[in-house]
Amino acid sequence: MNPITATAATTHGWIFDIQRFCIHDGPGIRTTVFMKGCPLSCLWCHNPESRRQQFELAFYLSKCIHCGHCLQVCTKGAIRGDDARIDRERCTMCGRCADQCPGEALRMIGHKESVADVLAVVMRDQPFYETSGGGVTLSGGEPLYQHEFTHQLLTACKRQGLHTAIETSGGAAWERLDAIRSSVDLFLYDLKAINPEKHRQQCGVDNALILANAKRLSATGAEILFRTPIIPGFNDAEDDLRLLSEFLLQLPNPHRLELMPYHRIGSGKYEALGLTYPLPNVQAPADMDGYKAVLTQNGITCL
Amino acid sequence: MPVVSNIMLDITSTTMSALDCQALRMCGEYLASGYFEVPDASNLRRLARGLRRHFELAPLPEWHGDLLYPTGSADLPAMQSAIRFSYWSSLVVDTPTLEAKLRQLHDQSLNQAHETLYAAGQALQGFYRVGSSIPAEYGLGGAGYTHSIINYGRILREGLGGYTTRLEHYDQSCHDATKADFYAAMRDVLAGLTALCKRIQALVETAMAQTPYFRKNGTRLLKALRQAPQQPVRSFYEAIVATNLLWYIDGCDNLGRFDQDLWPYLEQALTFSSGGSVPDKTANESVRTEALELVRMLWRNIDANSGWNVAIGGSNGNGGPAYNELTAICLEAAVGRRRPNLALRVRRDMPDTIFDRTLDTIASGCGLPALYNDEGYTYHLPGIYGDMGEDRYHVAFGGCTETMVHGCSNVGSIDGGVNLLVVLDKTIKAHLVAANSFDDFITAFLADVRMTIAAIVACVNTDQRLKAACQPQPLRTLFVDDCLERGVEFNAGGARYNSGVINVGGIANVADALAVLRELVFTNKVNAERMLAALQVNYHGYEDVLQAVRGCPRFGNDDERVDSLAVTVARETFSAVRSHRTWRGDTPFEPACIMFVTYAGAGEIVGATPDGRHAAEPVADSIGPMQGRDMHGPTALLRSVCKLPLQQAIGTPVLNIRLGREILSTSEGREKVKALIRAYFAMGGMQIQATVIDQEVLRDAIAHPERHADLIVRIGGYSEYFNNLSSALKLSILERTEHC
Repeated sequence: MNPITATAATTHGWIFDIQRFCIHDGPGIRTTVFMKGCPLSCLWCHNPESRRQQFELAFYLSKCIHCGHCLQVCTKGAIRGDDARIDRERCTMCGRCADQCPGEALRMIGHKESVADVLAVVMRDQPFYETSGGGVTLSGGEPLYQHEFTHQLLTACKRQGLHTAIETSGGAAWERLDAIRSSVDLFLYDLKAINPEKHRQQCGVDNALILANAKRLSATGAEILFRTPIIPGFNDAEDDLRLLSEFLLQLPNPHRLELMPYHRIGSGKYEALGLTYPLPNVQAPADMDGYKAVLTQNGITCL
Repeated sequence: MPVVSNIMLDITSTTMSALDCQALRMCGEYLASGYFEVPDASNLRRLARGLRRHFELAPLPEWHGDLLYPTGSADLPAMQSAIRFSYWSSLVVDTPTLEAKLRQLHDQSLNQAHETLYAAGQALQGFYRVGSSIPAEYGLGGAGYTHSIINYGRILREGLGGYTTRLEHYDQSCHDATKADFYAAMRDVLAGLTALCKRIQALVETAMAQTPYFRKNGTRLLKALRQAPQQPVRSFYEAIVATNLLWYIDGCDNLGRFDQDLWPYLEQALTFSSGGSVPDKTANESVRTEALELVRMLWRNIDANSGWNVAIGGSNGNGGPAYNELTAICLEAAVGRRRPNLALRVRRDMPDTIFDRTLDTIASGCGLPALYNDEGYTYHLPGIYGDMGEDRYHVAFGGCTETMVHGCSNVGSIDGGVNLLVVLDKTIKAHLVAANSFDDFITAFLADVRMTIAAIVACVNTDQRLKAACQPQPLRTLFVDDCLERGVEFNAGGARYNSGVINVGGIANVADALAVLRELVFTNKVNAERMLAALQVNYHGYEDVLQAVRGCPRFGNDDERVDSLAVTVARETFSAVRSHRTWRGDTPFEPACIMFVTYAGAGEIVGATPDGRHAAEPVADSIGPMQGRDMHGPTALLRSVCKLPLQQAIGTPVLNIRLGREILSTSEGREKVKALIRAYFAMGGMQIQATVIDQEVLRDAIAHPERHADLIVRIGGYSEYFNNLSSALKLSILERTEHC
């Protein structure tokens, strides 16, 4: 076995999903690898199961057939008869209840996989990448959180000639971004808020590193599509859009911006994980055209 | 064949006098009157004479002042008689009509007429019925219904006059008594058609005289009818008029390669309108607009009569691309229509404009057109028929999607079919407990499959023989090449290409079931007796078994563990079907997987099966996975399907996929759908039909999420499985779609 294959087989990463036929995260038909672990904690996060680099036990009430089997299976007394089902203080994430749940209402999220195994799944759709100009997208969570694994997976994909994209918040040491640069064809770079105070409040961390990384990455000539989620009442004020425009315009190279309308698809997941959805009263923006018009007027190429 | 001679005896033993024939005409039984006119002639000639009288005398449907005749739901001529022509069984006796007529004659004390009609009814009641030799359990999706495509292009080019000339030529050059009888029959059909054309002209003239408002269209229509289809057509309008007319006369079946047959006439109009050299955009636009309007009228007629297939695009006789402006018009005219069942032959070099037009029509929610891998069909068709020369490029489809050759083939239709779940059920009962290993069991199952197919084929070939003896098709004999040249009747093998289609149902269920048996029963996790007991009671009280079953690999997820089983089952079944030869053409049978709406019926007769399917639940749809069991998106589904030897099932391995409306609403999404389809064909896919999700499906998905695990919807730029959404979101999508 050559050394590279050896690493590919032995380096493992925490994955929570591999979705084929993804058509919104980069060109063509893509396979998206969702990785666990994220340094941010955005209030609107739609993948709450991605935050921690460990197992999560989810319970989907709508799928429960109320057979009561899980109550008997659990040895820790962590299953209750009510709608919340799981006593998360007692649960040790052994996974026995999920293994035996007939309705798949209880489900363990997250597993460790080797670079070689992930690559094998990604390569299955190569005929579709060829006809569509697609490839692989690494998403999460924050792929740079598991930077060793991410680096090796991207290198392996590049060696197969695939188009590679990565969804990142940029919240990682520059060295990590720099290391993967040559293996990434497209950065999907999130800019959630430019105002540092807002960013701290809404995403749980300071944005100085994120903004500095964006500048350095732009300077390298990398292909970047910046993306901003529009969360009504949080980051969509005129001032927010102005700061965003100013930031983008002072970057060393011109880049396009894609606006992502806030949506509530993730709200059900919070319930399943026994969490409280932090934005119960925020509604999806009725219309994105107004935001786009402002940004365009500011000189931004907006998707 | 004693059966054959008995039936022949029944028909020919009743002879009637000339007076009786007159009485039959008075009762409005023109086909029967002709049939009994020539009692000593062959069955073909008797039917041909019947058809001639039918054309000469039966009432015609009204003309409503349209540019075409007939229009709407109609028979040409009208079929008010009790003894009727039918393109699939030659002749049918409609018992309720017969009884009503007899009652009426009795009431009016017309005893002579009553006696004659009664005798005719008695004689023809025993007329052999298509598929009667095929038991219901072997008739999966059909039992010898006869679809075909007459050679429209040739009739347009030669006119009926050309057929008469050729007929006389063949007749004079042959010195065989049976052939003379054959050509006499063809002469009768042509005489009948000529009379019919004259009657239609008179009908239009009369209507114009009575309703001056009709004059504008009528003058034009009449001019066209004086030329077509008797003489070669000269314009696109004449070609449409003739095609419409012939399609009604043929019994409202298939048009075949309509865009190829009629393109020369439209092309000529487009060239002419532009003065031959410099394209005149405005003039061309008006020619195109009128062509679109005429094709729409034709499609409306096809829809009104539940007509069948039209195959467009694909290759020309030289193997080059055959897409033209009429191809685009055919697609555009089909927007929102249920019929014709439009089949688009997709080549790698198909122009993008045609692909865009195709997606427009698919997005209109009508499920049309179905897409075919042109390279796949034209390459693999000679596997059935041997060397075909350029004919392999003229592949077209009948009915749903039975593969045939335009204008020169008799493939019948689905002649019979094997319901693999019925076979599996038998194998399980006989062998599951006793089998020493999974390999032993699968060997026993495949042996049962081969035995069943042999039994089906024996019935189908008996049926083909009976059709030849008892059900001549005078019209198709005249218009399907090379019956006339060979002097051989259509059902007796006169067409250039003859075969038969054997349908295969339940491949995915059987693959899933075999995976379950291998993973659970032959590992003793659930022993054979317990599995049998669970199936016996429809899994009631065996929820643990059902749960274990659901944990087994399922076909449609790009999972080798079960896909390999599907490959084995499909390969063995298809090759078993192809190992048998048709009586009609001494060619291999065409295997097919065409389940359309029949997959529900196929499941009704089958008890619970080891794949977790409950008793009477539908079986898998065509070549695809069991509904709702593909959980990994369209690419995984297509990869699973492409592992199967699809090219062997050339009778058409149908794949249904559902797409969200939204993906077709953006140009970016459309490019991805195109790429998906192109990749499917590049991997060896043969046919695919994409439908957009409709309201009913979404409603059902809310009420029964377990049936729709594969349903993907797109929200605000993201993709998500419908089942993973909260109830409120599901409802919001339902509401949003309502306004589309």
